[in-house]
Formats: sequence, structure tokens, C-alpha cells
Amino acid sequence: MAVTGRFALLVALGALVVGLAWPSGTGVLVVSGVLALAAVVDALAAVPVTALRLDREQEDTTTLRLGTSLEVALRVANPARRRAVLLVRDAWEPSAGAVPSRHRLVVPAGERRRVVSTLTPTRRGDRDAVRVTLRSLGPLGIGARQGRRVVPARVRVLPAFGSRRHLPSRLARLRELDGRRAVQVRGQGTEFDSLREYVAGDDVRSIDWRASARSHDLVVRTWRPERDRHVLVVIDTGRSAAGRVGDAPRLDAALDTALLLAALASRGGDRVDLLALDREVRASVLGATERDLLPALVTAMAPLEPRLVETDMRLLAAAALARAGRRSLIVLVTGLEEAAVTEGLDPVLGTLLRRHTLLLAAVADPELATMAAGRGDAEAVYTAAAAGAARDARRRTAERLGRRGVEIVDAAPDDLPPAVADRYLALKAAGRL
Amino acid sequence: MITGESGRVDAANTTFAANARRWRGPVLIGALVLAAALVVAVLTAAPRIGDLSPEGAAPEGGMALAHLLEDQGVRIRAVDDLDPATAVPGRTVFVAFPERMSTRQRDALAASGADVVLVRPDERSLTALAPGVRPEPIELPEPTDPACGVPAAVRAGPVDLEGAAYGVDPGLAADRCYPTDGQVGAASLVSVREGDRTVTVVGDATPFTNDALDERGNAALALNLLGAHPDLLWYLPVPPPAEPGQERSTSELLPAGWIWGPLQLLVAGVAVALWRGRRLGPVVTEDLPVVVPAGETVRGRARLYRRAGARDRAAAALRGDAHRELAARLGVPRGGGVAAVVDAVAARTGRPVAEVGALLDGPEPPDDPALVRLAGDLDGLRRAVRDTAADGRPGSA
Repeated sequence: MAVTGRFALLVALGALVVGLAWPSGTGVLVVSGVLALAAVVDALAAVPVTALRLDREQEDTTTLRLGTSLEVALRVANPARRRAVLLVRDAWEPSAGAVPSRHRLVVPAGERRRVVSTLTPTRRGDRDAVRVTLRSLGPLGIGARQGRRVVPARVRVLPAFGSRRHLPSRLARLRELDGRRAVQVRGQGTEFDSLREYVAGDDVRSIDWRASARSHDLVVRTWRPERDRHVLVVIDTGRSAAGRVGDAPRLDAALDTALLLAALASRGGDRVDLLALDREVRASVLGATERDLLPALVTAMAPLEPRLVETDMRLLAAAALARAGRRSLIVLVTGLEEAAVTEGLDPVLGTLLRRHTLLLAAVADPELATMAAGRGDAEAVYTAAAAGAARDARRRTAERLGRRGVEIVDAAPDDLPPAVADRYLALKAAGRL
Repeated sequence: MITGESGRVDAANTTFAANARRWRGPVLIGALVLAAALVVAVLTAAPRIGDLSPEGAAPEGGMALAHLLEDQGVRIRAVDDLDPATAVPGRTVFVAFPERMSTRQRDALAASGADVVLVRPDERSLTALAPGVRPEPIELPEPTDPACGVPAAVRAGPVDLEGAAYGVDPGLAADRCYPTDGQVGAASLVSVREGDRTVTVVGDATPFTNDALDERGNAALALNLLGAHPDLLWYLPVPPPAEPGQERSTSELLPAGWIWGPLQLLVAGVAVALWRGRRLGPVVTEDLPVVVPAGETVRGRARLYRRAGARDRAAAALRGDAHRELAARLGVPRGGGVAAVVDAVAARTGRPVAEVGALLDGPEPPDDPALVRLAGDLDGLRRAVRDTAADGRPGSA
């Protein structure tokens, strides 16, 4: 039961009736009472909310990329023999960014109408339609019935993958490695590909003398970078991922890094798996084919959120080792905090490094440099000293890990994805995968 | 960032200026209306002084008449309430504003034996003081001749009587002066003789005013009417305060519609509250991930340093930073220790070894200003090394 603005207006106009024609308490009671009764009768005459049938056009979960918009439709069918005048609120979670929040809708008897809201989500993850609230107005428009229903719907908001713009240039370099261009790379870890005739400009060291002896011409060996390697991206969704750098948490930069690396490595002929965990495994993508990989990754990443817990590095190592059967490149996106590394990562480092190459990617905070350059008053100088100490600790941790054979990439959020991609290309060229 | 801030400030200023421009018109109009209201209030308040009273000096006042009467030896007393003891036969009571009399005052006047002159009385005063005389709905177009037997009117001749006219019930002995055209029985001055008292009803105050006293026979009429007896009570009735028990509150005096109408409006307010207060479904909540600025721990540590006065740690951190940067720039191998860096810096910049040593490996600063100075000096040292390197001077390691 609800009343409308028209009801309030009528009650206000009743003041004229009372003031001019019936100036007494009885007048007030009668005028107000008649109007209230009219509102109740009007509400009773409205189409019952329970009689309306609601459904969605999209049955399954729809996906969209963060930063884009999507229209979602709610269908309202009116099986009653009266016209339904409705105020509809299709309520989504606030960060789904649904507009307009409420709709006026007239559904003639026996017909069906659509209510379209535009979703512009403001953050990644699964966004649910919470409930639909309906207010059915009576024929006079002064009283209304109200009720709510749950009409489930879900949109999955995928990571924006802002680092996609770095992909073409890295793919070009991958092709250079791959020998599809004129430049032939010969390195320690490259594989023998085929023999062909020598042309001027080839490295004389690549001449295969044995084959040349069997042939009339000089024959050179060609090489290609190793393929079919395994890259396992492990994302730490624990406390270190929760810190906000710039406008976004570190986790977003980590996801961006993983996406760029996966797109690049899958084109490079390597198999890419993903693992995200803190105290338990939050997401895992295993054995996806090259074509399915990116959709599988973004879908798995969508609901990931950082959690304020210390990541269980033993679990991380065990899970990573279980998924990396053969020699792999393990890309671990985590923090470089001294204490966390000393107590968490150090003890398990040996088991990880025994068979695999470990690349540790950490999101650096550019604000640290700004703080370290602060001068002027005591507060700024103390902050600069603290920032300097923090940078020093971070550098020492990185050096210590580096000495143990871990590849370290420590970069600002925007620079991390291309930096990790470059390091991957370097490792691939060097045959260290 | 800073440009953004100032841009926003500029925008705010422009908005303020634009607002000021936009509101100038309405504010000006408001001020004009206020000023006009003030002027009107002042102008309309002024004539109150000039009411027909013995002290009234304005055109509508009665000062000239009062002076003339006093010159003729008439004693004038201005009263605001009638004392029955003073209103005795043989005196004249001049009531300039009969409609201001309360019922009690009217009855008191009717009970007294004094002669009465009423200026344009309302119906209640007529009923109380001159029964049988009734107002006629007519305005006189022109001053006419007296055409009656009242001595004052006869002596005055034509006067400025352009106000109300009165009729007289048949059977009442009354003198009707200044009759109106065509209307039989309507006259602007009616004199009723009742025993030994005379009640004169004048339809217009004009003949008594300062402004018109010197025109036509106005002065003669006024002087003869009011100077008939040596004592004149110039009655300016002021309603006395209500007697105890008869006081009525504002709400009792208000028409009932003014009380119940607003009450209904209150009910309407409740209706508005019901309308606006009914939500279209509950508020939707959502669990948001906890996100803390990554630099928060550094800031926290800085505050701890400062609160604890940990200048030694702060200085060591600053020096460590500078030391690393200088060592990297000058190519001093790591593990060479502070002394090697100090020597290299001194060689590059030409500063004394002792001075550079005190900066890079000196004692703890004694207070915060010293720490701030140390930070600045270390920056200076870095700049010096950078600049000499840019100059390409020899001596780099």
C-alpha cells in the first residue's frame, strides 16, 4: 500500500474545502477520511503485483568488459483484465551502474512490455540483479499496491585488459624470434628446425658442414625458438594485492599483466595456465586451447577480489607444482614486501626453483618516488626517509631473490604488463623456458 | 594534479561570477520592491499625524479650525475617552471619527446630554446617536445651497460637502441641509433635535480641514457648528483595552476557516511524507573489496619516526638513499664502503673530504630543522655530482 503525489495534492486542496466551506474538526476528519478511503479503494482496484508475470530476456549470464555498457531487459506481462499502471524499479547492485533506476510503465490488459535498463559497471566481477520492486497504481492514481519479486539475472564484468595496446608490438617481436621474418635468431636454447641453402648474409657459424659435404651447395641449419613450453601464471590475491596504487588495487595490474602475457605466450605456441589464490585457490584455468584461452581467463578473473589475508605460500607452491608437471616458467605476481617474502616465499623458493624458472612480478608504487623526493618541512623529510627505507628494503629483497635465481620485474602498474611481456620474450629468446 | 586543482578553483570562481551575474537582476528587483515598500509605508504613515485633530497640521488636520475657535473664546479639550462628567448639556462634542468608538463609548455619548457633531458616521453610530437617520448610497456631485433652517448652514451658504448623504425616516423631526439633486430626502447635513440636545450629522470632513477651511462657507459652517457653546470636547475616540473576562485571543478572533484550513494542510504534509517516505523497495547493499592506498604503510612509518623523534633512523635512510645514488653515478663498486664514495664525491666535486664525509656519514642531526637541512644538503650534493658529470670534467671513477 502506498499513496501518490496526486493523493497528497488532493489532501492539500482539501484545505480549501475545509477553510472555505467546512471550517471545523469534523470537516478535516471527513475530507481527510474520504480521501484516505478513496486511496484505499483505488489501491484495491489496482492490478495486484502478484498477478504480474516477470521474466528476463537473457537467460544466461551475460558478460561485458569493464568500461562498456550493456542493456538488460525485464519483461512484465499483465494477465489481468485491467490496465496496469506501474512504477518499476529493477534494482541491481550499486556498482552495476543501472540507469534509470526506476521506470514508469503502462501494460494494457493481457499484454507484455519491456523495461530496459542500461548497465555501466564500475568494477569487475559478477553483478546480480537483486530484486524488482513494483508499484501498481489504481485507476484514480491516488493509491497503489507495492510488492517485490526476485527475478534473477547476472552480468559478469570482465577485466578491462587495458594493456592490450601493447600486444601488437610484442607479437611483432615474437614473430622476429619465430623466424617468420628474415632475421634468424640462433641462441643457446633454440631448436633445430631445418636445413636450407646458404645465402649471402647468413652466419657462417650456422653452416652445417656435414650436410654441405653431402650436397652440392653450402647448407645452413635454421633454428627456431623453442615452442610448446608451459607458462603458469600464479596471481597472489592476498593482502599484498589489496593495496591501491593510483586508482586501482594492485590486483587489477596483476590481472592485466597475466592477460597480456597469456595472449602473447599462447601466440608464441606456449601453453598458458592460470592460478589465483590466497589462503585457498580462487581461480584456476588449466589446459585451455589457444582459442579459448583469453575468454577462459577473463571469465575466471572476473570475480577475483583481493582479500586481507596473508597468502599461504606453502599452498601456493604445492598448487603451482601440481600444475607444472614438466619444466615451466612460473610467473608469480605478488608483492615484494620484505617480511612477507622472508617468511612466506623464502622457505618454498627452493622447491619452486628446483625444476622451474620463476619470474616474480611485483607492482611498484610510483608514489614512493614522489614521497622520497619530499623536502621542505620535517613531516615531508620524515616521509622521504620512510619512503627511502621502504625502497631500500624492496630493492634488497629483490636483490636477494635475484641472487637465488629468481627473475624479478618490479614496475609501476601501467608498466608492469609490457615489462613482464618483454622479460618473457627475453627468456624465450635465451631458451630458458 | 596541481593544474587540475587550480582549474577546479578557476571553475568555481567562474561559477561564482556567473551566479552573481545571474542573480543580479532578481536581487535588484527585490531591492527595488523593498525600497518602494518603504517609501509607500513612510508616505502612508505620515497622514496619521494630520488626522482631524486639534494638533493636526497636515492638509487633513484640524489645527486651523482649532485656532480659529480658540480665537473666538471657545475652550477646546481634546479627549480620547468620554468622561460623563464633562459631557453635559451646554457643551458640544465633536466626533471626527465616529466609527472608532466602541459600543460602550457610543452608549456613553448617547446617554450624555451634550450636543453632538458627527462626521460621516457609520451605521452603528447613527443607530445609537441619531436613530431615524440612515445613509443613502449617493455621492454629491456639487456643493449646493443649504436650503434648510439650521442657522449655521444658512450663515455659511454653499460649502464643500461631497461625502455621504443621509435620508431621514418619515415622522422624525430633522433639518435636512444641502439636499442632493433629484433625491428627495437625501441631504449631506442632517440636524436632529432631541429634547434639548442637537445631534448634527455631517457627511464630509472636508469643511473642517486645514486645507479647505478658507474656501466657500466652510469656515462659517465649522465655526458655527462647533462654536455654538463656549466649551468644545474634541473627541478622538481610542478604544479602551478590553475589560477582564472579555479578552479574546487571536485564535478566537480568527475566522474558523483560518484555523481548520491550515490544519488540513498539516494533514496534507503527512500525506506528502507518506508519499515521499514510501521507498520503492529496500536499499540495495553490496560488499565492496577493501582497498587501502599502498603508500599508507610508508606514511604510517613516517609518522612513527616523527613521533618517536627517530632522527637517527631517518637520517640513516636519507643518507643511504644518497649513498646508493652517488655510488651508482660515480661507479664506486658496491661493498666499497662509505669512505670510497666520500672520496669519489670529494674528487668529483672538489669539496673537502671532511665536509662530504660529515654529510654522508656524519652524526645524528640534533633536531628536526637539522634533519631538514641535512636532506637539503644531500640533495645539493647529488646535484653537484650530476652537474659536474654533465660538464664532462675529468675525475670520474
